[in-house]
Amino acid sequence: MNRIHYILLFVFLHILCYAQQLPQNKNKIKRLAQQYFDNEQFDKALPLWLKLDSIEPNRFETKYYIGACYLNSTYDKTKGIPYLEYALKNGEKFLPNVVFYDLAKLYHLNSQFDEAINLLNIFLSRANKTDIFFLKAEQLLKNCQYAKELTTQASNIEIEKLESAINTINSEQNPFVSADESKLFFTRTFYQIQSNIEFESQKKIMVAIQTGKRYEVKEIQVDYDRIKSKVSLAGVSPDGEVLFFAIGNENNADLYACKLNDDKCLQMIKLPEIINSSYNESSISVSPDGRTYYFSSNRPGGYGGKDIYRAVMDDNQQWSVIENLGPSVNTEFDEDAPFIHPDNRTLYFSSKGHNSIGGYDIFVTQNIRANEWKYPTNIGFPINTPSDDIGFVLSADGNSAYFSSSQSSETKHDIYKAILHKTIPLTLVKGTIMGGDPPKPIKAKIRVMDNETKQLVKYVYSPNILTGKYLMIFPPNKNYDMIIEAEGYLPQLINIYVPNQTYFYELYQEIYLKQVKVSRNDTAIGQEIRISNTFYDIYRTQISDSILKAEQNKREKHVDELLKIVENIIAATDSIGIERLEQLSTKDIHTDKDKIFQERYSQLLSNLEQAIEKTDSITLQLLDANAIYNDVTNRTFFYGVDADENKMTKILVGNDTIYTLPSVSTSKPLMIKTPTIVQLKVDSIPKITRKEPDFRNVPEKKRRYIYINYIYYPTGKFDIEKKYYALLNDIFQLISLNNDIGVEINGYADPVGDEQKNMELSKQRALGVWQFFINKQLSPRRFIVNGKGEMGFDENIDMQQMRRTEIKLFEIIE
Amino acid sequence: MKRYAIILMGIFVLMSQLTAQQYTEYELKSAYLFNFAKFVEYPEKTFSSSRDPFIIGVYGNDAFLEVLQTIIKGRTVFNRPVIAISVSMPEEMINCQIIYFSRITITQAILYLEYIGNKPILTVADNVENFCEKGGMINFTPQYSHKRFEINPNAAQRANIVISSKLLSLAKIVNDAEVKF
Repeated sequence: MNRIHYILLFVFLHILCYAQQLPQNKNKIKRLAQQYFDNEQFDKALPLWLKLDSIEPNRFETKYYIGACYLNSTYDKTKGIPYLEYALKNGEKFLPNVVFYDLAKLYHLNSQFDEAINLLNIFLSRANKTDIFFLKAEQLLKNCQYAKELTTQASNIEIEKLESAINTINSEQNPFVSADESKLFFTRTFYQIQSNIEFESQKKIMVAIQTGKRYEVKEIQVDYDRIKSKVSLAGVSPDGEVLFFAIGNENNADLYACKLNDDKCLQMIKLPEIINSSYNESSISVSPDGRTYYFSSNRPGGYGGKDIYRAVMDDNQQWSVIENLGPSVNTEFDEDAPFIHPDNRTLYFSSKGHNSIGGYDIFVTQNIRANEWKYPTNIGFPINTPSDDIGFVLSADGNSAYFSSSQSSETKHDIYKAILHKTIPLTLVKGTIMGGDPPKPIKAKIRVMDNETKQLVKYVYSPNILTGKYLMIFPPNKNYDMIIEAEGYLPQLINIYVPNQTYFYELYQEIYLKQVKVSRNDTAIGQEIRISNTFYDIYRTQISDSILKAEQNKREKHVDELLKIVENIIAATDSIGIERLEQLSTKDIHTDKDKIFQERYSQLLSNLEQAIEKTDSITLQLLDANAIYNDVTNRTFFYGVDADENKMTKILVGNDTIYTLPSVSTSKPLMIKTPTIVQLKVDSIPKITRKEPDFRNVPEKKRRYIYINYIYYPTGKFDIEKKYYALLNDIFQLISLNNDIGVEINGYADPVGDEQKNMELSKQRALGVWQFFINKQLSPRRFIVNGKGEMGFDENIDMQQMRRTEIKLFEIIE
Repeated sequence: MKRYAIILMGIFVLMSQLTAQQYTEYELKSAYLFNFAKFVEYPEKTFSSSRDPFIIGVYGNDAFLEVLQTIIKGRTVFNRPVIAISVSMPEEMINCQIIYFSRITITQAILYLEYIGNKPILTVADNVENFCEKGGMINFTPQYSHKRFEINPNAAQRANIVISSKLLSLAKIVNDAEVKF
């Protein structure tokens, strides 16, 4: 507020009421109030003026001061409206022109746009063009006019203020969600009151973890003491694993990245020089492929105020170019808080310019080509209000958005959630990666390559160390290779297919790595990978796809009609449980996920209980036949006797060559759009029978040996000694779990004694081992058994080493 | 004629009910686990106090655990709250009423079964071959099997657990395998 202006006003009013005699205490109050007011300590002046008003109502100058105090306070500003109205009504002639502008500001905040426009026109017609408020008034007039236009547009957006665990009396700002909405990160600014003035004392980074319907709010542990500067949240990577901070004061804040480990921040890394200038960079958004950073900066060379820039990573992983998004996005006013949607085209940002209806508003634009952007549109009511609305982030399915708004108070923000009733055709891949036995989360890196373009998606996904969870977002109808590099395992290639669908899709993936070990001496002879994919298509269709929802509704209606008929019959006979019918007829589709889930589950549990209660095996079979089983892909890779890299797949990743285990393809998902019912006759249940190959016919050159071990015998003996049982059991485990392994058993004898007898002995030795496996129900088709007699005799080898049976495991070379 | 109509309608209701809802493997198996608890009687002294929860331990599959936890949230068995936890060590298993083994080889399972011994813990496995033959109590069969699960009633009996005849009649009954070697 212009201080000189108020001082002049004070002098003017003082002369006006000089003649009047006021009681001593009243004068004292007034003098104090005036002092505070002149010092711009409006929060302190306000109660004094209010007191004066209660002593002497009907004085327009007191009313004016009260109005002006409210306007400049951090309280609910709109409370000033009646006071200024009174002041203008009774003292228009004595008050300066600017009061029209002041009241118009309050009307605007209170969404009374017609009244505001009216007053602004009066102000502009009377004010001099050189008046410092002239330009501001013009801008406000535009804001009001835009607002009037926007309010007429219909919207089905629902807004809710998040619960009190998140929105406290402090200010909550900069909301960011992980793509699956499970985590909400934000900055909480604490205020302190010292000698009656409230000022910002501390900023803390918080995370709210959604568990069911509620949020559990925790503080992110940042080493504030070491940083010493103010830290606020600037962005979150799409998988919610990397946080970006803006550290510094308002003149020079820089961006830092840090990896998140549960609620701890590991190791802060300053973003490259090219992004961090000596000016203020305060917010950042990363495209899902990690190749483009969008950020705001007030560096010189822009269009005025804060502008939005982007940095693009070139093929050599260097940040070479910084681009201003240009005049269609950036204006002479501030632009801030960019958010690039996972579709990599839609950019949301906050701006005070364009057709803002007041303060920061949220706008959306789309990338046409290269760095060309459509003219942004104001996303309108009810999200944008006359106050600051900033920091708009969208969930991956496009249905819900989070933003902060100051509503009626200008400094303190709260976080709101908007439900947009929209869906975006993207696939969200959520997964866990585990290793070892029993499976535990492991440290891993996931790189993703587009199979068509052979382009590497630049973002390296690093699953959470504690939970093994990762999250990726893909556009539809694509084929990707995932390269998984985990500590203690060979790199593994997984092919995933993202279906071509028109609605939001969620894939839950579990990757499980295990080393295959045989003997007790713990040498790994191979690596097993198990991937189970579950496509959560059906849930989502009920929640997010409006078309399918309509179908669902139809079906529900159909059921209702059916129910009525059934009900009539029951009324007469009462032979079907009423309870079950009630469950069906009261079923209702809510958009609330949690409720849907709980209902689904209650129904499942009670269906199952009733089926067991009635020993109704048909229902159980139906439930089973219709269940979506995880599509499990299991593959074991054996290193081979002589570890060779030949069998490894060589792939070029940027400039690196990575050798990975052969690609594992997960099958295409079942495209179930509407649940299909499998009707079963008890006899017609399909049986999965797999034809086992006959390993006995595999020629030697087609065998790739993966493992070899020996059993030794005393002279002339062919019984297996007890000490070998453990080893044989391990081998048995391995063969029984891996149906594509064949076994070669070769018996040998030392050259002492009759050659014929030695041949016989070697056969007995081999057969003894074969018998051991056959007794354990392994198919004889898997064994090649030979007695080799004295073959392979070598003078240099100890006699004892010759009395042996050789067990060789092999894979078939295709 | 009227009776025929009723049966027909009954089938319709059943089918429409199933058409409306389709579940994933984990959801279905979680529902089974929860219902097993209802159709099983534990010896009297299983719980030390009346406020003890009913604990389901899950071995080797955290993703399953998450689904199970969502499903059983806020539900009770024998008037006790049900909770599900992840177990990986034998010591953790003793406090559970049900242990669910997922992604486990039969050799490992045998080790755990030996450790559990005859304690009143219902041991359930997810499609582990020969689990019941080796002394496990319940084992899920692969999808599309005639019976959804197999039960070894002798193993339960040894642990003083009484499995409802209803469950038994829905299961493939398996006996202890003869010890071979």
